[in-house]
Amino acid sequence: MNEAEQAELFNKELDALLEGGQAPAFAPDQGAMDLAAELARMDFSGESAIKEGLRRRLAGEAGSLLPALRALFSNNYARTAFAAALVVIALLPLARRQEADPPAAPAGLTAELPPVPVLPLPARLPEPPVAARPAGALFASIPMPRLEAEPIKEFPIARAGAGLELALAEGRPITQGAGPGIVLETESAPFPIERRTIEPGDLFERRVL
Amino acid sequence: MDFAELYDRYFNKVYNYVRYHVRLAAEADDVTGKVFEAALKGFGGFDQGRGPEQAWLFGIARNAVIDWARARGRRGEVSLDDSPEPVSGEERLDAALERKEEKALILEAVAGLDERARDIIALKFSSGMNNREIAKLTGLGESNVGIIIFRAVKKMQGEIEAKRKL
Repeated sequence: MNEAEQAELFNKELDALLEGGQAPAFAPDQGAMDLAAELARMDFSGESAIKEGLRRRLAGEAGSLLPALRALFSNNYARTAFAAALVVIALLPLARRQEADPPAAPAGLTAELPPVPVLPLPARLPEPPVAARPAGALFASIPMPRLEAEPIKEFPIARAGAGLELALAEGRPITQGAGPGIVLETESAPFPIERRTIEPGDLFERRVL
Repeated sequence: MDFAELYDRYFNKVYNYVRYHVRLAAEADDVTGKVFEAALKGFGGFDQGRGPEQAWLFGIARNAVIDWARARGRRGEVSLDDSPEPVSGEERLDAALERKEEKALILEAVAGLDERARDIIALKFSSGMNNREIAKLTGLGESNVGIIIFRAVKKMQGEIEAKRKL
C-alpha cells in the first residue's frame, strides 16, 4: 500500500470517527489513528475566560441599531438606492424654485419688435396639484395649467360680415430673426404673430422628474 | 439562524481552531473575540446561498489568525502555567495534571508543523468541515488535503512518542 492509498484509507476512517465517534481500526498504522482520535476529543474551550462575557456584549450590540444599519449598507444595491434618494432630496428645492419662476419669452421675438403696450397679466392662478400631472412625463407645460384654469374668453377678432364688430385695425408685416411675422393691432391690444420653426424647448420647460 | 445561535454553536469550535495556532489562552481569547466581532459586523450581509455559515465563519477565523501572526511576528509560546487549573472538585489532581500535560504535548506537536499543515489540522479537528470543504476554503485539492492530514498526524505521532520516551 503506497502513501496515497494509506492516506485515503486513513481519511476515510477518520471521517467515520469524526462523524460517529466510533474507534476505527486503521491496520497500517494504529498509532496515527489513535492520535487522530485524541485530537478529535481535544477541547480547549473550557480555558476561555471570555465566552459568556463576549456573548453578552455581542448580544447587546446585535440588538442595537448600528449592526442593522451596517448590514443594510453592506449591500451595494442598498447603498446605491440610498445615494440616489439623497441626490433627489438635495435637488428637490431647486426643481421647485424653477417651477415657481415665470416662463421666459421666446428668444428673438422681442428683439426687433416695436414697443408694444404691456398687457396686464392675469392674476396668478393656483397651480394644479402635482398628483394631477402625468407620471413620468419628461416635459411639463408651464403655461397650460394656468390657461386651463382660466375661463374661456371671446377672441376680439371676428370674421367680417358676421354681424359682429370688426376689431382688426391694422396688420403690419415685420421680419423676425427666424422668418417673417406680422403684428395685428386691434382696438384692445396688439398681437405679434410670428412664423418660424419651433422646438419643444420653446414651448415647454425641460424637467427631469 | 440569529447571531446568538451562531455564537453558541460555533464558539467552542472557533476557540479550538484559534488555540491550535495561538497557544496562549489569553491571546486565543483576544483573537476569538475579534473573530466574533467581525462576524457580527458581517452577519447581516452573510448570504447562506453562497455557502454554509461554517465556511464563512472559519474564513473570518483564518484571517484573524493571519492578522495576529503578522502583528506578533512570531508564534505563541507554550506555558503550562498559562492554562487555568481545572474547576471540577471531583476530579483528581493527578488526572487533571496528566490531561493538561497531554494537551500541552499535543499543542507543542501541532506547533512543530509547518503553517499550512497546522492550519489544515486545526480546521479538520475543530471546525467539523470535511476534506472537500477544507479544500474549498484553503484553495487546495481535496486529495492534497487528505495527504497533508495523514502526513501531519504521522509527524506529530513521531514527535509525541519521542517526547514520551524521554
